[in-house]
Amino acid sequence: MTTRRRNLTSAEARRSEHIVVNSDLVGASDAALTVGVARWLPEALAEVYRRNAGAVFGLAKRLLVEGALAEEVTQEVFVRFWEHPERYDPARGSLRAFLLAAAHGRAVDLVRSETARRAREQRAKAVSGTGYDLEQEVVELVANERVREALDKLPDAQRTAIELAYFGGHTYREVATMQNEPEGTVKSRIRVGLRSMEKELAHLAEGTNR
Amino acid sequence: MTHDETEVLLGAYALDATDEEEREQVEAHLTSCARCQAELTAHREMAAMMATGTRSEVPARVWEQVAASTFSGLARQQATAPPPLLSPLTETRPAQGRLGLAGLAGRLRAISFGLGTAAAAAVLALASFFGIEVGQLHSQVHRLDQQFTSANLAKAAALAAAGPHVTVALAASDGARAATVVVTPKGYAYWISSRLADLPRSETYQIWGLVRGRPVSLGLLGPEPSQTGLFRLEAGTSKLMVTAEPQGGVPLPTTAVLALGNVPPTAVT
Repeated sequence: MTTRRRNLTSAEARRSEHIVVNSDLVGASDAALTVGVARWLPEALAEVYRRNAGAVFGLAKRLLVEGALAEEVTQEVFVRFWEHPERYDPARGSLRAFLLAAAHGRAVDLVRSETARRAREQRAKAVSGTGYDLEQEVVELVANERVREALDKLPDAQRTAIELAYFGGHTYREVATMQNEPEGTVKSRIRVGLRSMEKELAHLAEGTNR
Repeated sequence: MTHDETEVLLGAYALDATDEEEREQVEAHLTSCARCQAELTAHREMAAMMATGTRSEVPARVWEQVAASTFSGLARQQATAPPPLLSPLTETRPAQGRLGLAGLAGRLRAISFGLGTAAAAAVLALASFFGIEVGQLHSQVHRLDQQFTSANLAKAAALAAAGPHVTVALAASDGARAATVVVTPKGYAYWISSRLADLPRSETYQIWGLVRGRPVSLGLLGPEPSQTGLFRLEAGTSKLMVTAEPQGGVPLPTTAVLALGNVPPTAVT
């Protein structure tokens, strides 16, 4: 069954391609796409994928290092969305944030599980010490530059705590050990950092609108 | 956990940086605290913005696999001969409260293969029951958003339970109650509670009706059948049964019955 699933017939492959380039849904809202997925419209899923798969895969790869695992997580996130679109509530944020949170949760589970031990070891080699270097990333969107700015404005300890937790997949307790600080301090550090960035971005957005 | 204790954990929680126990405690608090929910939403958006910088090109095979595990299955079902008694209508998502899925023409075709026009008509009836019309995806989005939530299905179930209905209790082999189903005289059956343990994702609970001595698939409940679900019972259904089956369901039960309940003969008129 699995084998048959993975080997697309050429007709199916053509169909997938066709679906990917369907342009009717390009301007559709998250809510509209979710309704489409709830109605089992392949085109709606394809559009959700087109918009978000890069970010989902990128985040998963960042956390897991191993490309194959990141592919698995990405696949799982979209299949799950197809199966349970009702779990996304448009009142609680963007679809992208929802999908990324799902990917992050899953990736972190893998990072912390025994099966990812090898990946963790590789990661430890790839990333020396605590320095998650965001500078490496190519910043391609204006929004990202703003995020960078907001992140840059944070005190080092806050920024590092957020980076270690989010991109490193560490718990705040682990971060506390790494930073040699009390757990309570790190716990609130992460929250305070996020809130400052949110304020900073809201401020920037206001500035742009004027 | 108090509001203050939870609040200070929200940043770490949003980044999946709490331990399991704290996560559960935060989640319990979130269900009743709009303020914390709003803060969490903001943190998640912030995290998503950070993640966007890590965007990376996805190998084409990932989409192919997504397609193969989702809608390609639908196409294949339509193309092949109808599997005996398998109900494509409720096959994947009766537990999810979105009867609007019936609006998809492809699904209707699949249903008419599998169950005949009576079932297709029932699907259309269900679709109109939820006020959903086919083909107006964009204009009706806001209304549909509301209608697609399981909360609304729960409300529909509550309404059904307030009117004429029969409650069918499904018992596990040890006699303990495993699930409760509310059946209206028209045959709308709401799966309203369940104590079935979660299955691995490669499996699903499948619900069956015994009709004239033969098991008829009523639908798949998924591996975690805790949400309200809706399916149709035909008159003459004497028992409801639940089995655990491979993901995607099977035409006839292949494993032991995990839960069983009697449907009174007059339940569906």
